[in-house]
Amino acid sequence: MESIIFSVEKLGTLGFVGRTLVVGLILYITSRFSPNRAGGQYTGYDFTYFWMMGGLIVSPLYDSKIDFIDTITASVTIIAMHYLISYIAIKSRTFARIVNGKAEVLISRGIIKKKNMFKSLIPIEILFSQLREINVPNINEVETAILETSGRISVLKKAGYIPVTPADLNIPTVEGGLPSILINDGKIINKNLEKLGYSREWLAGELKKYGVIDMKNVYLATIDGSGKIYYSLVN
Amino acid sequence: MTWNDFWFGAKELPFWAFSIRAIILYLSLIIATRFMRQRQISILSGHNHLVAAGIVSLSAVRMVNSESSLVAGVAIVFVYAAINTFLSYLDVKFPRKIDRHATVVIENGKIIKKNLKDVRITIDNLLGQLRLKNVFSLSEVLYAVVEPTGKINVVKRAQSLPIARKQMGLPLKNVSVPTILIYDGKVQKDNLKILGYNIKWIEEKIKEKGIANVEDIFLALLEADGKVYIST
Repeated sequence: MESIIFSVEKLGTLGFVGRTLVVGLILYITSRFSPNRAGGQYTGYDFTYFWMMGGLIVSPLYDSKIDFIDTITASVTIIAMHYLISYIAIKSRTFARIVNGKAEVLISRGIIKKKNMFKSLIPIEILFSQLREINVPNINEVETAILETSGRISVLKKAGYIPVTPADLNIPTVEGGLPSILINDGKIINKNLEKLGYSREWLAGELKKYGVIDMKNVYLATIDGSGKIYYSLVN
Repeated sequence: MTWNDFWFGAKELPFWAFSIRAIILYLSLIIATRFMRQRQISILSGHNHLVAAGIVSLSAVRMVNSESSLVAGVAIVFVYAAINTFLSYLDVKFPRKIDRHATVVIENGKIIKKNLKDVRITIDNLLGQLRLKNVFSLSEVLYAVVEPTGKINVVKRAQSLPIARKQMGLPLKNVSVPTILIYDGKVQKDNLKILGYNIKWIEEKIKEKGIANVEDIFLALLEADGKVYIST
């Protein structure tokens, strides 16, 4: 057991299997503490954090001489530093600009900024590839393109190429909003029901209108912002 | 432990030494990543990928191996980052020489069998990737391109695209990226200056919305159509 946790000269197959199980446990704990940024908006230090932690956690499997205590010390240090950097970056925009860099304008008023392309090391091939990725295959339609700090490119289309919206045609709309889950796998989610100010009886009544007698048979029921109910039965 | 042991490695190191090693290597990698620019973070090409898998995990292992030299670890990080940056630079300077290039697999709606074989993509793969791009019928596809990153992108036929304002003959509206006017209670004076407004103007704008103090505002933006978006 000691040879699994601590540094030893030689370790057998079973020892390494034991170490792998410990690594699995650490992996689970670490992932609980890892950042989740919206829409892949990962920053430079997130990127470093993820690749580094991946290598760090498995390091006791590289060499039997590397022990877990040191690995955990290093991991905790990096997690703490990552939290610290994230915290300061939120507090200070200047600091954020230093660690994240700033968004670079690659196309402005339809004209490619060669200087910024070179500065951010983006060749035209990658620009085209990224534009196709966000469904703007024709550079003619681009008013502004910005290389974000996460390395992705965002595009503002020229006025004529923006899709028509209901507002343009004066079509009245009702906001659907985000649906809330009311029933999942036959279980009523009371918290959501209360928050929206509905009762169980009301829900039962609504579902009865659709011919659903027993709510236990409902796999999923949601309600959206306009009050529209969606349901799907267990089958 | 002597300083020499700390910088160049020794058989045994106290546990806190690993903590400081972690800080130094993590900071070096953050600096190196900034140096390699944004394209490294979203891994836009082959060498970006290899570097990510290579040095970052390598330095992680060196971090906890007491016998390895910390100085050498930091040196490896920066030299490798410099090579990567140099490759990216060559990529910009001489496009299509360094990186893999994009391959067209559907051209004018016709599948190009040879290219499909070249990039080793099965027809099920292709259809699956197209579905992820919201394309369920091949008749809508004009072009499909396999990118250097391995992703597949689609150019739809004009007839299958959403209607654009121009096609409806709608008047053109002003488009631009919004500018931050206030963030976390602080007026962004530089931005105001660029736009040619003064503090008075923004104070009037927030009064119109019924907010007394600039300090109460978390974010205020000037949008393309001249509207001011405010969130407290």
